[in-house]
Amino acid sequence: MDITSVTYLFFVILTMTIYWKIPYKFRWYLLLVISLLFYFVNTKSYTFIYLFISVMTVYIATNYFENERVSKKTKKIILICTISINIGILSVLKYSNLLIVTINFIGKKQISLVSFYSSMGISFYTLQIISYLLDYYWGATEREKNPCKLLLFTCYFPLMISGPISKHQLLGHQFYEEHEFDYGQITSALRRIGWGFAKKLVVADNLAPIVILMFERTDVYTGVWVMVAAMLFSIELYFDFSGCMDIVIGTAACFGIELQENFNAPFFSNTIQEFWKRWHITLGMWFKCYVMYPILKSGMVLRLSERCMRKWGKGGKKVTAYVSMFIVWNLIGLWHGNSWKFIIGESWWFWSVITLGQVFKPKLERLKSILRIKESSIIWQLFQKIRTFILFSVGMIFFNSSDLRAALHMIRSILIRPDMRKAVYILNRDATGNYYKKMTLLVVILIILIQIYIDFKIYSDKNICQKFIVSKPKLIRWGIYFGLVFTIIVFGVFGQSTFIYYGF
Amino acid sequence: MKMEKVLKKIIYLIMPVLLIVSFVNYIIDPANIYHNELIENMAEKLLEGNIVRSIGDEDEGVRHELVVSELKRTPETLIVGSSHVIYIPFEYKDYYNVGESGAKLGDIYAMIGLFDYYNLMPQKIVIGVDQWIFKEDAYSLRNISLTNYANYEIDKVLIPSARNEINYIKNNPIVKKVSELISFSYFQNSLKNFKNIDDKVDATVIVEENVEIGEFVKVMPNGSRILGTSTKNTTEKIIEESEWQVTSNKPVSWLIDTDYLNKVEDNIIQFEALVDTLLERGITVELYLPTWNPIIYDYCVKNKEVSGGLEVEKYIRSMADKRGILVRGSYNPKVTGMTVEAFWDWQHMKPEKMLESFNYIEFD
Repeated sequence: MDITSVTYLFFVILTMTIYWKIPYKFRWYLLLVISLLFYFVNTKSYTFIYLFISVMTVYIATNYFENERVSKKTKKIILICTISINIGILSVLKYSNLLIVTINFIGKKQISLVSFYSSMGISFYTLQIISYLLDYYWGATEREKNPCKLLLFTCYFPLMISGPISKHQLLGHQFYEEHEFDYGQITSALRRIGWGFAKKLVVADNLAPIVILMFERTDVYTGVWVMVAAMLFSIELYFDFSGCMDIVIGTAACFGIELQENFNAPFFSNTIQEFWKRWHITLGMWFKCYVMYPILKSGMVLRLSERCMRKWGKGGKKVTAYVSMFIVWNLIGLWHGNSWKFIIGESWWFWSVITLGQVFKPKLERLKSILRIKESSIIWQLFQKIRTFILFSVGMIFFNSSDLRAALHMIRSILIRPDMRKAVYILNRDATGNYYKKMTLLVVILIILIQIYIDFKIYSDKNICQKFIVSKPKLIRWGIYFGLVFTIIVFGVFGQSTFIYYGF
Repeated sequence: MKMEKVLKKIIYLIMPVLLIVSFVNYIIDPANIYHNELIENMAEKLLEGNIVRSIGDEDEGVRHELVVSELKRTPETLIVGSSHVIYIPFEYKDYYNVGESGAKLGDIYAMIGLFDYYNLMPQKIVIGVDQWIFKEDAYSLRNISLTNYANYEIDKVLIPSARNEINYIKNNPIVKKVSELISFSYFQNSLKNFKNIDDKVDATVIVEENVEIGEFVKVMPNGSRILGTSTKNTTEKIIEESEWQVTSNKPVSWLIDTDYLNKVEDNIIQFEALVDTLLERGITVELYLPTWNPIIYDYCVKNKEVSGGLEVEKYIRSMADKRGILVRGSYNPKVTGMTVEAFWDWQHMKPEKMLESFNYIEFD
């Protein structure tokens, strides 16, 4: 069941209606049933065993943690084993072929690739359940005594597509608390779902064929076109993923459940470092809390830090931070997919940009003061944002290319002068060939501009759009609703693609 | 109470939208799902022995059904397949060409089922075997208008208990008609064809005077079609288009993953069951392999990961050999002597070259 389908909308409306009719004590049962139904409709039934093993191992582990007779050492062993089992399942299902490809490459062998059908959302729910396990181990959350409630936390249906990766202390209790029906919240949620549809079906799915064409015809789209392709893909990815988040967060809000935001106007970031705090926020938070901080606090790293400080002074402390960041970035790359392009390409690129930015920061500050550049100047602010967007887009060349070699080839082709006439001719045939396509392009640009405005205003007022609509007279409000629905129906792309992050 | 208020607002939003979409889909109806007057007029003229101008997007299945159901006698030879058989100027004395664009395995069942239903089974059936027909099973049709005939033939050929009820219902013409009425994809198609609404209102059929190639596609009384120059491309354009197609991974009907036939065993069984049933009934069966565009063929040969379609020729020759069936043509343009110059557009050969390819028989 595609979450941009009419079937999904009816599914949400129907289940939402039942949800608000039944007493609140039984609502979590309903959420569990519909989550399992959603799971079985969207994936092969036998894959439920992986989800079941994840939930049960964590449930049993937390059971032991609560037992005071179990020693600290034993608890640590249980913790490590449980995390290993969960990561192990994910690794076998997702990374077996990466290992085989690597062995074949290094050892010049020809081992056949394997084909496993994995659970829906396995990359997301595995991190989510590990976060619960660690939070409970560290005393940051309550234990889920009912295994069915833990199952609900793990497989809650809106999260299964592409997250957000939620913390138990923020989400868990919401399933069982009594929520009052809030008319304003529900209508706001439905508006958000509608906007998510527009972002995904109208913008992302209409940009997709142009991006595919440019990434595949690397013989034609060289030189400046490489950056155009990369930037278009960045926009496509943002609208695809954030559109999905709008639908997911809106769906949860229809049931009175608040999920964490995954985006916070990322393209308004001034640095790449800031960008990654605003893009896929919950993934970044997860790796920071459960990988980076434990690494930095570990005995080995603390000792290394001391040695570096003795050798290089205060600056030596940063060495361990950069090393930890390198490890984290490699893991983030690995999480994204079973291809070296994510690790060697994307992750190493972003790590390098962030690290070099930090290393050269004092020199850049000096240069700024020599050139008398004011931090608050609009031109400087604009320059920083454009620079960040370009740096991000370069990383996306690795993300969207078929493999590392293709990505490097594409980057090298920046130096090749393009045949502009041929490039424009082919693009025109695909993108703007007829009147309908021209109109579609205009609508795509309009939605992008509206989203830019929303993101721009997000600092001052997160709900600016919602407030704008609600403040208008009924006639105009309904005009906007019908306008949005018909924009989606007339210009949307139906039945052709899933969300990019669904593949993870 | 407040939930009811939300539901009311949702209904107030959805109902007008669905009504407008249904209205536009019904009135414009680009695929003539709901309006048959034009096709009925076409069928009438064809049955009178006239050559008529094709309107381009008419429902081929409905047209064939209307003509075949009124045929006075059984043709000697029946031609079944996709657009790669429709335009061949066959040299048979007495034949009917029931080919449909993009025909799948289910369409092949449907085309034969149509003749079987009306007790018009011929002495010989020529089946154009395109590599894509094995991708889906016999319940999957490109043209759903003939679904009932496909089901009729499937019930005769395959074990009735093996019928896939879900697909059976899904492919039901009435279910499809209702779903297309509220389909957003169909709505977009309707909007793109808005300017053709006048043609829809005017159901006049243009009778053509001769079989010469003109600007428009023509339909013969025996179901065959004659290409129109409006679809013709120059060789340079064909080369450009073909190269663009392969590098954009667009022609998915040709670029098929390796190990193709192992993945579609059930569909192959259904195809063989149909052929075996025809042979058991004493009908001569011939199989035709339409020649591919040389640029696409070479691309598949060089790129093993998309060479699955090439496996089909080897399989067809092997299964035909076991059954004593004649195989005509070849996918390989080098074997049939077809260069890019032999092509009308990037997919189809020129009519005389199609005949040449059809008449090619490989001898061991």
